[in-house]
Amino acid sequence: MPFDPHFIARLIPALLEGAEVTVELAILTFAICLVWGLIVALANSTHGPLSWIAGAYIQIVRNTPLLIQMYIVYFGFSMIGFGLSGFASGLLALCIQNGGYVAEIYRGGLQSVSPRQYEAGRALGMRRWTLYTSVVIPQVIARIVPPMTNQAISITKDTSQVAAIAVMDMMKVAQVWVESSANTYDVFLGVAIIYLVLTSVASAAGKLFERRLAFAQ
Amino acid sequence: MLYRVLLALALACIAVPALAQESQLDVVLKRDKLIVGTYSTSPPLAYVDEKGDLVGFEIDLAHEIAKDLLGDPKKVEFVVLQSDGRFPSALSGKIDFGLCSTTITGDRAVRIAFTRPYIDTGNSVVVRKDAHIKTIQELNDPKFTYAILNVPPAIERAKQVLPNVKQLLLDSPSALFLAVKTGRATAFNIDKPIADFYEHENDDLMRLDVAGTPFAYVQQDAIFLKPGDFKWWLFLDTWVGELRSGSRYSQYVAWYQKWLHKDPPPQRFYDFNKY
Repeated sequence: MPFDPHFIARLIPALLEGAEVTVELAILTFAICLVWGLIVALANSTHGPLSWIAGAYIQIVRNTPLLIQMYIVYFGFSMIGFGLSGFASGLLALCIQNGGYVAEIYRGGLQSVSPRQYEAGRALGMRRWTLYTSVVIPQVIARIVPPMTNQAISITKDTSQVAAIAVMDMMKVAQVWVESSANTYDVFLGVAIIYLVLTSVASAAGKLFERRLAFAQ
Repeated sequence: MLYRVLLALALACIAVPALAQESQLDVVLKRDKLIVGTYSTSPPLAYVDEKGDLVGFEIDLAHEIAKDLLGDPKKVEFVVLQSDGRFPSALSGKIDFGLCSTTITGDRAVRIAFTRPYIDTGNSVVVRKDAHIKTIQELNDPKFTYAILNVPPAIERAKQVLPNVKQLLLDSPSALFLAVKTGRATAFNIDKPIADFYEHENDDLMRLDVAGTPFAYVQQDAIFLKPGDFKWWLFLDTWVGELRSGSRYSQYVAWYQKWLHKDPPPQRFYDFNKY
């Protein structure tokens, strides 16, 4: 008996409480990854050991499942004596993995600017600072907005995995409701709709940002 | 072309309700194979042994049901489920029924049909020995962390008996066990048969005394199926009844001893030979 309106009316407030945690996690992860990813990308663009470390980091975190990373942070750290809370472990694992993806987005953006533009800038007598701030970076930002929007959407959905490490996010709240009511369809449909709303907001923000920066292209 | 498509759709609309009336009992007999939803991480009821085979009390039950239905205990396919996938699997017909440590609750019975219970389970709290506590009351302290499954009865009990302890909600018995083994949690609450198994296998864990608390009450685990199919439900319910208190009781005793290392509850609450 799916689509029981009275059941859904009781369900929605509980899900929204969980959604708060989901939103907090998603926003924090994205904000931290914007900075952390840039650091990794810059390290990766140098020559020498720093670049190898950054390269290895990107390969390892991108090519292992997020759930395993969460388990390692949540259970593993606690085994060696400094257990983080579920929320902190989830946030850390999300940042570790998505930092790798974001770094690659930055790298793609930086490499998309043709070396000729650097040469042209220098030929015009621009200083390094001016070259970057008025020629390179505006183009890079304009180009990375669409993949960053994708990443923000992906992060929002990825947060659902913290349910496995005892964080009361929207997914966990949903699981508890499924367990008590056996009404899987209504609960998971409700969850899917709320995720859709959240990711739509992220995608609309990305579009808006993209339009504002269109001048750089 | 469009006309044909519409015709096909219309026929499908008529055909679907007609098919839906066929009992799952007939579907199973026609298919010559039983499809059962189980868990794989709840020893000794249903788990994967060292050889990689799915074994346990519930698995034996399913084989025996297949034998009665189809004449061959091997004519059963197991679908390993996670707890949040079990009810939709039954409701959508992916499995013929579920046999996976599922407790009967009033809330669930609104949407899913249960047979009578095939096993009574209690609750146990397993604690790390290095916590140096012996009773459930001592666990009620904010310095301890208590891991439970995200199921309503466990959450209710925790609220009632352990309002002060820090709670961790996890989604499988093996995650609870991992949490306690890694020091994430001090203690965990799980069905008695599963606790017996873990306690038996691990020297660093012990059982807390739960006498006089809601942990000592019995819960009932039952086979669940899509509601509304009387013929199929009646077969399964009768089958369980015969196992627990009728013609199959000796088999029940044998499985109890094999998997739980003790005798089941008596066949009757009175002494039959006196009457």
